[in-house]
Parts: sequence; structure tokens; C-alpha cells
Amino acid sequence: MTNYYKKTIELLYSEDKDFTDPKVLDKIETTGSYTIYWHQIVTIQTTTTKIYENSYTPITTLEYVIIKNLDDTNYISLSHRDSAPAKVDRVGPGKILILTDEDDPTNVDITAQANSAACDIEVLILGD
Amino acid sequence: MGYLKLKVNSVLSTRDDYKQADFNIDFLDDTTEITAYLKFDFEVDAVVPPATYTRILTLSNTTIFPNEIKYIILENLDDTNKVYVLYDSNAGSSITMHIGAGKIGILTDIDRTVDVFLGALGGAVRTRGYVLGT
Repeated sequence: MTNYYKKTIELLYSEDKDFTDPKVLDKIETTGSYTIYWHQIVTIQTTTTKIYENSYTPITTLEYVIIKNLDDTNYISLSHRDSAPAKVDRVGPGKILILTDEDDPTNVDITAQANSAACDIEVLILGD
Repeated sequence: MGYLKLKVNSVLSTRDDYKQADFNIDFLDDTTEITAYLKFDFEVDAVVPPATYTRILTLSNTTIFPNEIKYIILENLDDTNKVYVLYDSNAGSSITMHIGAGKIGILTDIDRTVDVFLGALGGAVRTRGYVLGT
């Protein structure tokens, strides 16, 4: 069954830390459809940890992968592959990363490794 | 010095008018310090890899962000064509992300020693976004 998503990305800038008088830099909205959604907290170890393995999911089209590093200190190295070599992006403490449109999700594993101690990340995947 | 609040909200609904949200999920980063931000809006040339991609940022030379690149936020404004994001060189092997038609991608903690390039697949694509850092 087709479901629908509306994604809004809001960027605020403030000179003070409590955002009492923020300036709105932008508000970007995008919409689309999906049939499969997955939202979970995953603990990333200091060894390679699988976040998404296509062999146990029926997803053939990845719409969005949103990841937030919930740790205050450690970064994770995120590896996502649709062809060799693996592509690696770093997600620092507290940061958010958004991937879209991997070439061939039936051949993609998304894995991560924490740099010095295990840490939790929040993951939302939308696909078909 | 200033502060960035980045909020990614996802409304998931069985209705295409979104009047009834089944799930409403927020991802929030309100702890990132920035000293500068750069807004861009331009057309990315279509390429057949390996070819010359459009360089959006020469990180190794920039004086705008001498310390850290906290975020690169990219919006693909095309209805049809995909955008590639590449690090480091104009070789196709360094593609790190695809941004589908009408979609938004966010990269974080970019290595200060690399350059960032964009290329469009199938036809030129208008892309806009931000680079935020210190």
C-alpha cells in the first residue's frame, strides 16, 4: 500500500545559545511516497556494525535514510555501498546525515563503526 | 560565533493531503556552533563519468571555513535527473552520495582536505543549498 511522506528541513541561526531571537535561514519541504518504513535506535560498536542489510529487507528503492548520532562525544564512520569501493561518510556527535537514492538498494549494506566507544544512533529509512 | 538549529521533520501519512499524520518524527541538532554559512543556487552540468564535474567548494583553499565544515545541505530542484556528490577529485570513483530528483541530502563533518564536486545525470540540474561551518 502506498503511503506518503512530507519532509521539512528547517535551518535556524542564532547568536545566542538559547535561540531567543533566531534568524530563519531556510525551510525546505519535499514530498513523496513510500511503502516500507523503518525507525529504530541502533547501537554502533567500535567494530563494523550493520545498520541495514538488504538480505533481510524487501526494499528495492531507497527513498531516504536519515541518521542522527545520539552520542555526545564519539563520531561514527558510515559506510554505504552500491558499488566498490565503499563510500564512507563521518557523522559527528549530535549530527544528522541524510542519504537518498542509492543506485541499487538490493546490493547495498549500510554499516557503521564508532571511533572510540559504542554509541547509539537513530535511524529512519523510507523505501519501496 | 553563532549557533545552528537543524530540524528534520518527517510526517508519514496514508493520505496524500497529509491531513492525518500516522507518524511525526523529528531529528534535531541544536548544539552545532558555526561562524559562517554560504548559500548557493546554481545549475550543475550534466556529465558522463569520468568527466569534469562542477566544483562547489575548494575546501583546501577556502578562507571562509578555516576550521571545520559542519554541514553541506543540498536540494535537487529537478523533476527528473539525479545529482552526484563527489569528494576530492573529478574521478567517478569518489562519488559519495546521490540526490534524487526533488530530494534533499545532508552531509556532515566533511574532511577539510577534500574538495566537493557535483555532477548531474541525464541533464543539467538546478541545485541549491548551504555550506555551514567555522
